[in-house]
Amino acid sequence: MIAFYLTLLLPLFGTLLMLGIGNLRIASYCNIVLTTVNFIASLFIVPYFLNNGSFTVLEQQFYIDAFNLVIIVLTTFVTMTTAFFSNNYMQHNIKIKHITYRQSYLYHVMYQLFILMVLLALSTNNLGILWVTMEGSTLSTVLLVGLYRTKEAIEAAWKYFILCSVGISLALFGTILIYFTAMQELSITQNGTGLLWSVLIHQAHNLNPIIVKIAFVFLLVGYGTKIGLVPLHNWLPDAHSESPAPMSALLSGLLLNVALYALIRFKILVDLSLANDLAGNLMIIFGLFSFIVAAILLQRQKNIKRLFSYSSIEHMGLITFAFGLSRPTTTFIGLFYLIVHSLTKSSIFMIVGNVIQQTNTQILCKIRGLINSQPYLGWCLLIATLIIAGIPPFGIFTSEILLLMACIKLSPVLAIILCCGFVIAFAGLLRNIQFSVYGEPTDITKSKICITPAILNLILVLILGVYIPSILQELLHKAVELITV
Amino acid sequence: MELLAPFILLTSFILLIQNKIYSMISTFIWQSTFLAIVIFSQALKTPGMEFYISFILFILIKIIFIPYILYFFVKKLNLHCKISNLKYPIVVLFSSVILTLFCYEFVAPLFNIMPNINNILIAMLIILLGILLLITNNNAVSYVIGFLSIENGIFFATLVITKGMPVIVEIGIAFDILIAVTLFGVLFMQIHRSIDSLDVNEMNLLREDIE
Repeated sequence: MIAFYLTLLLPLFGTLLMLGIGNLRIASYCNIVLTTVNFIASLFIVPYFLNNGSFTVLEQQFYIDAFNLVIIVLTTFVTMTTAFFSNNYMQHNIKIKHITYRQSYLYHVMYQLFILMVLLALSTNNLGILWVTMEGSTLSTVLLVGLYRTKEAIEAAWKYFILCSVGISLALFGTILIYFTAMQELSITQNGTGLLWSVLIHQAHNLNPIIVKIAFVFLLVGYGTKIGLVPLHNWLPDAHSESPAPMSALLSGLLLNVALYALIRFKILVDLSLANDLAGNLMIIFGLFSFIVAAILLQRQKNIKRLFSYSSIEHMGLITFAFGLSRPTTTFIGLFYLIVHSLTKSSIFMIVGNVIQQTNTQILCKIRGLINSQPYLGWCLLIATLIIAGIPPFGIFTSEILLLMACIKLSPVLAIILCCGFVIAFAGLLRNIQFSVYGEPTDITKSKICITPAILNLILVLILGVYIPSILQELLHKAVELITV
Repeated sequence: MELLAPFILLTSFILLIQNKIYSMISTFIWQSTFLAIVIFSQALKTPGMEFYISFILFILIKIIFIPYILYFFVKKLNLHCKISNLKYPIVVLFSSVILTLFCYEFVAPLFNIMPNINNILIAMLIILLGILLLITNNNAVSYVIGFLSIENGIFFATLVITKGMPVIVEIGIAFDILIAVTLFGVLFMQIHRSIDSLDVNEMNLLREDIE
């Protein structure tokens, strides 16, 4: 229990602490220490959960079950490795006068605030607070997306802000409709309990199906904007490509997950209330469409970070699709996919951050022959690209092949579409990256590279690809039971 | 409440065809004032302090703080005389009528379930007209007003549909809006510094270029 409080309090403490620390070096190290302790603290929730089952904290304000616990641990892990990376990255940026001390101060405050918002969103029991913290996670990252203050960065920040805020206000409307039917049907007189997940889940089959249906449409559009589902994805490539590399890693590795988490929470309610596949089918359509469109758009990217942000849309589409199929096996695959994608994509953005620091450009055709000029970095980029494209025996491959197998059983037509998508995406990624790693090198500015945290993530993906530890398996199975009620 | 709801909707329509930033802000103030009266009438009807709290919060944020901030930036960035160039006001109005019909069809199945269906229709319309405002305008300030009017619509929805949200959520939402508007201000300054205007159409560097 203390571990849980600590997990939430540390980022809060971190935000306040960072407000007081002006020195970049100290702030960076504090960031590392805080996120590491946070990761360890979140690990300690796991044994408590395994002994006691799901539990609520603080008069039902927080709720932990297998589903959010997995994502909480994942979140703290990714924030930790990213903090290690951002230490070096930010100091280099200061050195080359890319950002000022004031901007790095803002960066560290917002970094901790973002973690706080994400962890609150994951652990809250109140669907209203879930919305508030989701909006909070947008607000805390807007200034970081525009941190470099270039024209492009400001444009990206603006797009991100407007699209996500407006999109997510539709999700609020959906939440209100759910609250309304809860109050009406369940005659919950006590103020506030109509939004509590732990109350709603037991009463879900009583909710009014018509209103729940309308609510889910709003929720899907609202949270779908933040997941980056096509055609609501416009902000995503811009925000990912213009923000500093550690921020891209966090946006891609965490923010998208949390939005999907929120959507799935509501999907559970909707499934229980409607007792049909409406929510699942909508998610299948949106997911598959995002997957295909992003795979095609991957082909003609000229900016290395945009390339990988389209790959994020593609994978998030697939994960949404997997959850949409609503079978225990596919839900398991979806969860597993979510984990390995987070780890891989955050490490890719760290590697790309290093590449950009070496070459001073994001344009793919100006990055040439990395294996010759920076063998270590070049190989890492190549291997990471292969992993995200789905090469065995890594985790992404495992989840893609499992999903394909599940699809063949359910509907061969979908399986064919998936197969085509995989090939197109694979080709798109490799076609664009191969010239950057092979060939005659261009001029680079040699500077210290820091890819150990990225490699750590990738090693985990490798391990997960061949072997899932029994604790994780147990957690995932429990989560699957929850989601496919 | 039944009396005031159409007035709130009317302000939404007026916002759509407004082409001066100052008048846009004052229309927004009108909309918020009508909404504040609705909250107050709700507060009189229900026992407990919750509605009075949200009434005070609402007045402080939506009628005093946000318009002040917007006026401040319009003045500071010298936008008084600039108009947002709305090209086809008739088309915009026509599409808003179509939206109204669409909304009516959308909520028709709910007639038996919800007693106050008209108010829900109006809430949804305010939200959708807000989105229409975002689509048709190209000025950053009008984007913010569109966003805030969507927020107003949602607030109206909470009032008529659920008789308010739990206090903790309401305070959370109010806080979010406060921060959002402050951040909008910061972005205004940055956008103005980078492209020397607040015309969103001029920000077009990050496009998927079609060859």
